[in-house]
Amino acid sequence: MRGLLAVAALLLLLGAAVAFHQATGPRPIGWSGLWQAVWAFDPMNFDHQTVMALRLPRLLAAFLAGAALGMAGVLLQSLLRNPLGEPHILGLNAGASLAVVVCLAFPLGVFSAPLLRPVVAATGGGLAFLLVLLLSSAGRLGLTMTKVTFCGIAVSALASTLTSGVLLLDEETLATVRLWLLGDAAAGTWTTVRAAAPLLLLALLAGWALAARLNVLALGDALATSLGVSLLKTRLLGLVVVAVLCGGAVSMVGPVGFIGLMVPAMARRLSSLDHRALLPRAAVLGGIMLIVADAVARWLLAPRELATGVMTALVGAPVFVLIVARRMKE
Amino acid sequence: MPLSASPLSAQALQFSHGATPVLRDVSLLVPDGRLTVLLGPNGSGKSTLLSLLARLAKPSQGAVLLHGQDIHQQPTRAVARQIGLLPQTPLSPDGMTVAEVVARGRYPHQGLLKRWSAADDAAVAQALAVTGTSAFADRTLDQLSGGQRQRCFIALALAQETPILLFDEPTSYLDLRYQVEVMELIASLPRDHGRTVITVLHDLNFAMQYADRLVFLKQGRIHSVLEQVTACSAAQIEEVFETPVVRATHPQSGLPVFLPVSGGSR
Repeated sequence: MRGLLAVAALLLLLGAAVAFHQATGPRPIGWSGLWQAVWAFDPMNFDHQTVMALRLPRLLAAFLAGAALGMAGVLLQSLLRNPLGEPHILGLNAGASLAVVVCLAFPLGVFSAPLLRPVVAATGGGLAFLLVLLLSSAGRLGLTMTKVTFCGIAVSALASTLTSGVLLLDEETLATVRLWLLGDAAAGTWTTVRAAAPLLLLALLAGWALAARLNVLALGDALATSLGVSLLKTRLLGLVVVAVLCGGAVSMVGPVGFIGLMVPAMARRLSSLDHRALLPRAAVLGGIMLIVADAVARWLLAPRELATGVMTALVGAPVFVLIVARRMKE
Repeated sequence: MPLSASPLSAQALQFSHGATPVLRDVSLLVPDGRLTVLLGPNGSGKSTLLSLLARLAKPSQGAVLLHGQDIHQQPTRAVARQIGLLPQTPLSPDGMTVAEVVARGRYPHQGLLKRWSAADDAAVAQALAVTGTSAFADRTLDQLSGGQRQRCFIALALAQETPILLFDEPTSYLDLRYQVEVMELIASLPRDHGRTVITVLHDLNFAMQYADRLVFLKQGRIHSVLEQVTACSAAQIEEVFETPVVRATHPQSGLPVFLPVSGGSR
């Protein structure tokens, strides 16, 4: 019963977020305009063009990227048993951005093709995260929450610096990725959405399929092993899924931060700790949050627009500090 | 074999932590349907032996055999349907209810296509009933006493419906009352439910009162195996624990009790 209510509330919120998103923007297009643009598209109508070429891909990109980052946050936190597990903090976003920028700045043949951008981003993000895990498992204490977080921040800083270095050499690429690099749903076009969507849907399903194992993993490594969960296999599979989720999101909207931090914290409160319910709800909640963040970013200083990533950071950074402060007290 | 069949056995196990050997050439048969207690001083390797039996780690040499086959060569879920474990320190996530925790014991019986069934429900209900945790099935773990929480994790292992159960120091950190509660429950598993139980215990006298048989470890080797608890002498305990003790008899059960000799340490 409570679960049903949570699902209904989420769907309602999603509807409201979509309405809010569609109502913002410099050109007022009413509901009838939106309806006609989708169902009776007239290529000569400027409003219809605005909806189909700009607003719809932007909305889809925001939803899909938010869903991916929200689920990636839950997966990371459960796999690492670390409430600060977040793609942006742990270096995945910066690694993905670096890989994309390198492939744009240098002609690397097929790897520079837009269709492969999500794969390139996922590889970059996955490698950066692998580096974080290797660095933070060194030493006697192994992989602690503090060490993973610090190593994530260090690797992020390194990757961001390298990205800036590449872009300084190549101003042409800089011009095309400036907005994207801040993390902005406006960078979501049909090309990027089409390339990333199938991969993301697969990764979302694969992440959901890990739910039962994550439930058992929450009871500790010893109990999980005795219940028949292979720790190494689960962690590796989880790592790949997280990398694809983040890569797909970054390829569309750039490195948007803190969704993966706020969403799991909220979803756990809203729903049970059972990952079979938690993971899909975190995905929908993430989608809602990024749509709202994007709409607020457009509306706050209208007619000027803030980048979506600036919006999520404004809210997310204090949440990060709050979680750290609460952990310090314990 | 004089005893009933032995589905689980250790064959010449060796294990080291880095360069320090922890187990040297340990072989052990675990008889069916009895309560075996592993005893030994700190660092004797009893917890390590239990974790190898539970396949939490791989021996550097030798093998743990389940029905004659190396457990590391069997599918992990298949082993999980045979051997259950109560680890020393399971994690208890805040906000998870007892019923949810116990239900996770059904993991090895489920699959992507096999959904939760009536058999799963029955196993969980029985595990809750046997451990006396049904009354607080809807409470979250953080609302329970230490003894209740321990019984909840025993219920998880029972819901797994494995013929073999391993317990790693199940009474540590518990008050006397809860220690008795947990030991009574564990002793009832072979007696009333036909399970095979192996447990590591720290408390010598609890071991004496509840065990069917005793396995003593010392310096990474099996020191001795006693098939009858009454056969345990003061000399045996003194040799294993390197501390003088006197043997007394429990006035009710007639089983041995060992008391330290004060001021007599060597």
